[in-house]
Amino acid sequence: MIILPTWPGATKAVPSVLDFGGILQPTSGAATQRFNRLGNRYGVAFEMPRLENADEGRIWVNRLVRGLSAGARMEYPLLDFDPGTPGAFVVNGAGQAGTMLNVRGGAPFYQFKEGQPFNILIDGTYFLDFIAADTNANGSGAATITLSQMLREQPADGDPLLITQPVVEGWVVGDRLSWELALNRSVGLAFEIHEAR
Amino acid sequence: MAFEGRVICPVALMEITLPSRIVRLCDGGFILWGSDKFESVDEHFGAVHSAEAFEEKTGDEAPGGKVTFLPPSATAATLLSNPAFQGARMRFWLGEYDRASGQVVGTPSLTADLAIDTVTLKRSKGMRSVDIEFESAAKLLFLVMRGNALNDRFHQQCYPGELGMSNATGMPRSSAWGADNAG
Repeated sequence: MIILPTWPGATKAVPSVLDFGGILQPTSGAATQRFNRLGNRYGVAFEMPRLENADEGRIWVNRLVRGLSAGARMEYPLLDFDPGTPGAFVVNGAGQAGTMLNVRGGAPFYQFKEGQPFNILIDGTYFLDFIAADTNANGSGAATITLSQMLREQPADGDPLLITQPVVEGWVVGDRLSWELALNRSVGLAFEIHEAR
Repeated sequence: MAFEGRVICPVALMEITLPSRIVRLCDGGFILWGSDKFESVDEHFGAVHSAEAFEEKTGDEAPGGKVTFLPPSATAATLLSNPAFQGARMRFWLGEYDRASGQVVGTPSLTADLAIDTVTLKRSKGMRSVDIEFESAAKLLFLVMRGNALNDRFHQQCYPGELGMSNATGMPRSSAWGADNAG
């Protein structure tokens, strides 16, 4: 897994849900039905500012080239959202599944906000998801958080959560990875990362 | 299993009973059915790429089908060709799950009960797949007697000296027109 530089940030990030369900749409005017399937996850398309080829440009290009074959990890932009001081939340208990997750070990009374991005680190892979409902941790730093997507992989007891700076990790997708070397000595880059699972 | 309402959550489940272990696969993420965990990827089988429509006809056609797997490594792909896997039981279910708990709801319906027949490893650019063909477990009950034929040789084995089949050669016999038929 290639970790992309944290600076400079993307000028534009377009996150998307990779949805495997659909709407069962009859050709007539009959009622439609929503069809949910397992395995929904996220992808983010990034557009980078012009990068000086002399320093950061060549590094970004090289990390992406290597990331093409090994997968890449990029910080998820929080913009103005401040996750505060969450402490060290970890998964509380093995055998959990679905969209409810018990966590412990965080800062007492930490507030999870609806729509807040975070990661669960399972077996070396960072899974991105968003909190689906405002939740407060109790006095001992434990909480039951609601996820937006179902867990894609079963976490073990004690798997850590990353709340202060979440990342998106996956394959660099697209027809091909290309970069623009311009006359003004800058590099233009745009790429997309899709979670693998 | 109801499949009712405005929002449905169906899941396809597969279980392969190998001599050494049991492989449980589903079509995304993972799902719990009681105490069994169905994963979307297996260490040897990898993920399911696609499944051909299973066929069953009237007459002497046994139900069968093909599932294409994406094995995670070349070693895994060759491991799948283990002759001991032939005839291993393989079952498919269609069920519904609950999003909040990640559990299968109700009892999934068994849609096929098959046995592994042949394994074919295929490679092409950016792709390595293993086709596993299945046949019905009921095929074991089919009584096929390939040696039996309606000819004189076989007839003599069963009824020595009985010549009712001696002219049944399947070859046309022509007689010249106008000639005396010697029989």
